[in-house]
Amino acid sequence: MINVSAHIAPEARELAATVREQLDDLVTYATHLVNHQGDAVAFVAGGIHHASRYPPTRLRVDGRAALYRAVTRACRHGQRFPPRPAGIGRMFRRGGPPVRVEMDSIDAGRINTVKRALAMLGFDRRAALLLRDLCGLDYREMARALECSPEAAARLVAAARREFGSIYREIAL
Amino acid sequence: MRCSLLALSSYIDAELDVEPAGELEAHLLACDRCQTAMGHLREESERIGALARVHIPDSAVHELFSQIGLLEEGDELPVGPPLHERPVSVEAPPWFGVERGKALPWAPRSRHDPIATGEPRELIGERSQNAALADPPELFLWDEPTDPIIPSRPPTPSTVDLIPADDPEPARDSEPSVISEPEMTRPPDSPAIPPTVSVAMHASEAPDPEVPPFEPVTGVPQPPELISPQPPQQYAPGASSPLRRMRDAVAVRFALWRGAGSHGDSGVEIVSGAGAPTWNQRAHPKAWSDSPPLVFEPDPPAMTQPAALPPVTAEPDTQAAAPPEQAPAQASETPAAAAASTPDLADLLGEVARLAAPLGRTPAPEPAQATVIAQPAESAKEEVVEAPVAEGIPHESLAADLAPVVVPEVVDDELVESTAPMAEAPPEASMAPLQVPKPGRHVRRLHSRKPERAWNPAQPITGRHVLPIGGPAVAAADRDRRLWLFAAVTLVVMVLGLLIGRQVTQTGRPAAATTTHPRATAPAVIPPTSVPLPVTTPPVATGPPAPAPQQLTGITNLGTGSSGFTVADVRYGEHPNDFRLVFDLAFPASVTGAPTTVVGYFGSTTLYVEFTGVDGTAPIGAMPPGQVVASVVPLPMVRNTGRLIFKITLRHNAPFSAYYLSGARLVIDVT
Repeated sequence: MINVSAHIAPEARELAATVREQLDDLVTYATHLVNHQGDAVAFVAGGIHHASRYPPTRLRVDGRAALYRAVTRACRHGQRFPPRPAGIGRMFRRGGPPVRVEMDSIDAGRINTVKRALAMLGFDRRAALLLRDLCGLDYREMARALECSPEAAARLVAAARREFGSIYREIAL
Repeated sequence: MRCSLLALSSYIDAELDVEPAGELEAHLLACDRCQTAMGHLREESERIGALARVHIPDSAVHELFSQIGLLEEGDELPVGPPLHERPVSVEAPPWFGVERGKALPWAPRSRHDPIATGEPRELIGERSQNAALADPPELFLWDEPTDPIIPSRPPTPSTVDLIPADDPEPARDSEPSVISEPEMTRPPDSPAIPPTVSVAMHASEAPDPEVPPFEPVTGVPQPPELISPQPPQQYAPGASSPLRRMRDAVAVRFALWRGAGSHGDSGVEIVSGAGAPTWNQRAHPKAWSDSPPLVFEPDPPAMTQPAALPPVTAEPDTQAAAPPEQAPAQASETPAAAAASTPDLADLLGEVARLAAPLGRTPAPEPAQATVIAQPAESAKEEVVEAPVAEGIPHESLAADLAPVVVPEVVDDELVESTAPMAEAPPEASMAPLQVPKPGRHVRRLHSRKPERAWNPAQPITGRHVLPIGGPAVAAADRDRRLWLFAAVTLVVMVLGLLIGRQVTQTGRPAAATTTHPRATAPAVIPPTSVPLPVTTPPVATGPPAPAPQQLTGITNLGTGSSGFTVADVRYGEHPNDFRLVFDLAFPASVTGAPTTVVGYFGSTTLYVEFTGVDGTAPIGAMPPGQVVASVVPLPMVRNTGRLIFKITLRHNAPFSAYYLSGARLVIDVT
């Protein structure tokens, strides 16, 4: 049995350095992905917490794509940190205190036409669009983050741009 | 090469190889459709890339890492990336801006600043002579989140000065809509405002003499008057807002007192108690309230009067430097206005206290001293009254529209003097900093206090709220009291069901038969049949019927006629002169006596023992060999007759004697 909840390992500090570099972009990505800032911080925290269980080699090879993958998975499956109580027990007990982060995100929290059109996309296309155009990941990194092939990532981006454009022009004009 | 959206998208992202990229570039030269699609894709990419960014400060990052477990408290935070500058918004529709809208069929309109050129601005719905017919109307509705609400300024002379800016900036071309907004809402009869007002709010130097002041054009049809000539209130929290809230509170109290609810007042929402909608009628169309929150500002009344927030005029030097004779006059009106508002507040508080007293819920407001903000003379040379910052207005437009105003020094003395009587006024008449009622069952919420789904980490979002569009379907736990009630009822029902079911299904151990085995007088050889055996009723008789007692000879009648007995055991004992059989009868404690028993010969070597009032017998063991009694066999008894007959076979004819011992033991001695 491997104790995965041991004390802070050197790999955690390495992960912390990587996360620190990408934290603003991760929170920005999650904010626009789930369209809510409080949830975004919880999902980013959940993703980072999950990524802390990744093997160090994987983090070194994938780099920021591993972090984006963890955050995308957390947003897709609603994995928060601290986790919320599930099942019937959620009626009787509260979850842990939410992660409170003071951040400058007034503009990111506002709803505008772009975000409204973005919210009408599906999760995969929205994630692909944000990863490419907002976070600047290439197709290989997107493939790591979205758990698909680079060709599928390219098709996702193209389809997402077309759908987003049609929705935006429809609701903006 | 065929037209391919995937190829175009990959080409934009620079993900195409050299050869396909060259083919696509050659194809683009001849294909208008692909050129249009390329423009579209580039626009979508730019729009997404210009979404607002989030920046997390280092302290918050350290706290977050500590919570996740990546760092310890004393660890040093890794170096983060530099803060990105806010990208330029691309929210404008394509006809705004030169570089945008390439993919649209009409040409973009060039930036045109009518203020800078001195031309009157084109209004919505009107079309100037020079405007092209093909151009879309100039609608400033595209910048939704940053659409500022420009309060119109009353034409009263100002007693404040504009702060001389350290670094005066010229008018910027990037904010034409914000600049021109005040003129749209300015009443036509108001004094002329130079067009450099909103631009040079933070640069209060003399107006540019080359720019002509704005004057209403005579002879040209003017737009209808969209606002009332009365100077509207600033949206700063003043004395009127608490008073209005208090008035609403009184109205609600009255409505509740009459039991009529508050359906007539659309600005009041009662969430619990009388007048509140039931749980299925409660609608949450929105999570915020249009009315301002119930916050009691501890500002002195002098600061909340209109004189404290004087209107900003646009005369930089001549009028902004307030005439010294106007400032005392303005200040002299302050105590009068305060005195005029004080009795109203006192009456209002008294009324609320009178209404709340019989209810026993809301305590009467305690008198407190009036708080007067009196700046020291040396430190209040220039008191800056910050204009309220409305969320959603960019800093540039705020700086342009809500310029800092300065309370002149000459007002201070009169201000303190004017508010001194307020401090000496009776407690109920003073402007006391009212305590915000704590939420609870004794307080009815006048409006929803739910947050506006804005990022407020100091206040966790609880209760019902609407999930964002497109967000994950992870519902927040609806911690309502009804859930607790439902859970408690369910738990009670479950416990009751368990208890009742246990009582019903529990058979329990049957009461042990008080079988008292009479001690045999004969000593003994303890036969193996001495072990109590289960009582079994013999089956229905199928063999030859037993002889009637009248057919027996040598009869011995025993017993007292009792019933309810059971033959628990038949024991035997070998004695020197006889062979003893003992029938142990079991009987309940309520039974006394002995059953009727007839013992007699049927033939020479057969004895019959007939019990009346005995329900059954235990299996009888075999008799020892070589004795006079060969066997003891119970005959099958007829059910519910109470007659039990034993057939005792003798090896030879032998006399017997039968008698009962205490404890219903039948003893038969065969000699």
